[in-house]
Amino acid sequence: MKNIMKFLSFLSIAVLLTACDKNPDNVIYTVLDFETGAVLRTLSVDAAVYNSSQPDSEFIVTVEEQDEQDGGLFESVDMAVTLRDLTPGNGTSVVNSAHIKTIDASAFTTGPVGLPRATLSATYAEAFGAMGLSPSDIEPGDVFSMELYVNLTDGRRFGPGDVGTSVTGGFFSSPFAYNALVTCSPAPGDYRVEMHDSFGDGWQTNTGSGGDGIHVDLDGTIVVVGLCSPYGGSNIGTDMDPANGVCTPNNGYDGTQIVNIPAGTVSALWNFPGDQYGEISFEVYGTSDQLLLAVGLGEGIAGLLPVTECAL
Amino acid sequence: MKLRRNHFKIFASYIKITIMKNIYKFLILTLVATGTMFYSCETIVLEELTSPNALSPSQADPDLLLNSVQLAYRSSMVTFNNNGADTGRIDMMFGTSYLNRFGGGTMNNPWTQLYSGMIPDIAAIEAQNSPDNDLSFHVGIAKIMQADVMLQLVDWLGDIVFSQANQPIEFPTPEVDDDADVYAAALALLSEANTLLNGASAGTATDLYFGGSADSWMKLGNSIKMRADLNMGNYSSVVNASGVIDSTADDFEFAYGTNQLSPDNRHPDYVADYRSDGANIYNSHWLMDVMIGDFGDLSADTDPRRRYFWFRQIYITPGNYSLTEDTNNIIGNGAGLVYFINDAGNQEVLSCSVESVLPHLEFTPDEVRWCSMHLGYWGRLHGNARGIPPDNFSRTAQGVYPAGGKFDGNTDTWTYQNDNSDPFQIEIAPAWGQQVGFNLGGNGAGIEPMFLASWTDFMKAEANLQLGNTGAAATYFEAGIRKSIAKVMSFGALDASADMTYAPDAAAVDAFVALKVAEFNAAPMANVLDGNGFPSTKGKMELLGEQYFVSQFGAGADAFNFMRRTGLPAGMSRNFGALPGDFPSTVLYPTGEVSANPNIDQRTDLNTQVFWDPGLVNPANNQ
Repeated sequence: MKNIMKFLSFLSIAVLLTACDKNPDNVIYTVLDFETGAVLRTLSVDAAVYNSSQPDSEFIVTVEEQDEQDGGLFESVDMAVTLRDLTPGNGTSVVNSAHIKTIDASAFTTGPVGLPRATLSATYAEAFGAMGLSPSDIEPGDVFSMELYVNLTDGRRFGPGDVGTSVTGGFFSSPFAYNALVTCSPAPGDYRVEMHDSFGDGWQTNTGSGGDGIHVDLDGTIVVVGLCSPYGGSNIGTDMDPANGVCTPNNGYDGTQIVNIPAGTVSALWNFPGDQYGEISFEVYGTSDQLLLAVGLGEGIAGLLPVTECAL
Repeated sequence: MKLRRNHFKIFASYIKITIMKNIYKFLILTLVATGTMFYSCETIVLEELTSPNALSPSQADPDLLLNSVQLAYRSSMVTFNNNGADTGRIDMMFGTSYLNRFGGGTMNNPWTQLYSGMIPDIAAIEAQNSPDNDLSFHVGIAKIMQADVMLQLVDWLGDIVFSQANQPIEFPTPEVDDDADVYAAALALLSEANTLLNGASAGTATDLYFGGSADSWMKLGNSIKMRADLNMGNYSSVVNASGVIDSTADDFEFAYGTNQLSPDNRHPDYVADYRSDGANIYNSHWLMDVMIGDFGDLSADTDPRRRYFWFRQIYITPGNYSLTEDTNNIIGNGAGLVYFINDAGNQEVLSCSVESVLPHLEFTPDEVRWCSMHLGYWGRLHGNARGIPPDNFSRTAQGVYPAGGKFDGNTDTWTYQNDNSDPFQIEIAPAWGQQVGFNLGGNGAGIEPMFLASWTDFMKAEANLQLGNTGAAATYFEAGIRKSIAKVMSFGALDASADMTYAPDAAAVDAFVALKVAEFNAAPMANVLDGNGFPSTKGKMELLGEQYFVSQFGAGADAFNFMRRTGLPAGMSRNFGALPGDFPSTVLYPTGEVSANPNIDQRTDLNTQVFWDPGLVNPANNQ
């Protein structure tokens, strides 16, 4: 019996050893055989609004690169732009990942946690130039999706298409893509506002006998537009009080006013105060006398007016 | 046994004597000895063909077979409903990749239920059907259920096996039939069933759905046919369909019970949400957004059904806003003014609440619902498959309809209660007092909706709209909303302890319905889309789709069909992941079938279209 027990023991050890054999076809080795990628952690998005009238307006983001060797594999970052054409009015343009520029790893400096970091930027001129479109294809309201791709010395490359939502947020915070909204500055020149009142008593906007006019905010300077109202009462002291001298004198029904936007103005916000009795209508014409906006009788809603003519 | 023991004794003494002189001899002898034993045991009768473990089909009780068919049918419908609701954003879908979400496991259950459960069971019932033993009712209702599962399997898979199915001798590995042929075969089953059911009586059958009413089953058969006609574009048949489920009394649904054990027959969503360790289901942000209204009860468009659908567990969600009423003029601007409360976000319970909006959702309507909802509603956006934080006692649970849970009886404008030391720091969380727990609300006595009268109205509205009959469409649209609201609100009684102070009254319902109908009448036929593909002006079909989907809450099977029929609603949430891949036109074949049946090739994508699919592209699904 001694020997047979020994024999069985050896046999079982042999069986055990066979079971431990590393068969590379086993699923577990596929699971364990993983590799790590690289991320560009967003530290801050410093500027994300483009002004199509200012070619030097910038998109700026500060990122930190992290890879398997804590920056050791880092070679360069590519910046690219994809157009999200949100203004179908001028046709829909398609631009996918147009290359803007490559930033070498040497432009990165080691940050406080030992990982390379840098502030990356691209001007509007660079991004627009990469897309190969004509200026009329871009309108305020379009979005430039600014994409980053990280290239590693071993030839691997990671970008927005490689990440799931656990990488885009949270610890890694690495979406590889940022939205830059396109705005524009107003074209300088004379804008003509044709104003009408169907009742024939000037404008009653946000009060019953007069009220505020349309306020055009030119970088903080307010220009008032409106048809003077002949009434007293709550009118006194408001824009539509003729005594204030800011509204347009009129025959009760119609009037014209010119708003001059000086060269160099960055933003012009047209703010409509409201329409007390539904009697107001008006049109705004641009610098080449083209119709920019027509608000029909009683259609005016208090708030910003979409008056847009971009300086090129 | 005696012999064996003797053998053993002989071996034992042999071993003792020889003391392992030669191990090989010993082993060989053992082999010879055991070989002899097996040989001597061969007394099996090979000609025995009837399994002693199972009843023969002729011995089976047709009533019990019918029960099995009905339960297999319920199980299949639950799968269709759950998947349909996920595609339609009625329920929240986990998964940033559609191919992963709608892979080979998607239709495993109905496939198994149909081919290895229902069809053989129905054949066994039919075999016993004779003039002496009239089982017309059994066979009739079973065929309706079979036809419904076949139709819906085609809707999800396209070509499926039928003509060669369940004939293992001739066709051990059956081939698929053309999907249009299976549809035709299923419709033939429906008319066959109607003939059988005409004047049939239930007899000893247990009818889990209609209490033995053959008339109701015939209405169901006609309704299923109507839905198939709608899919196939036979709009005039839909408009003229009669004898369908058009009154709430005829609603086709499976009623769950309150039994907790042996068996647990409570609504599955109730079982998941009403536990001592909190709720486990996330609800869909898109549907919430459609229904809540920006300011809850202060908004005219707040849906009267929302407090029945969802049970809030908290008054504010991290990173979003809620409302508070300064009843006692603590802030000092006047008593009764309502203020916003803004929450800063909380990384522990909702990590995205401290992150910036995902780039592909920025500047779209999803921007405000991608992470959190207002007024304490707490679910997830379509596709959000991030890890699960400890939010079981703060996320929004299933309500009293259809899961049989709790009615949400809390206000949207909680009374402002602090000493004004910090204007936005209010202490209502302890006073909120609404949380899930074991045995609360309706105890799970909910329903699985399978074909409701309100859906018939929406289907007829859709068909009328396709034919350009906007007046009739509006009439059905209104009827559908009204039936749905009335049914949902009738469930309030299930939660006996609910505070119904904030339950909508008849005037609120009328105002809501009038608003929706006016919106529908004023809407253009087609959507006007913005640059992101979201409707900047909603068309009639979009509005119809929204309301149809709301009425599908708790079900959802037809939502997937609606999306393919119309390419709408375009305003639905996009996927949380930026690159979810192609949205399913059909899903993958069941993995079990593909691995066992070489005649079915697995698909590599979800783009195969069902024969009736016009192939419309819904911008919501085309990321």
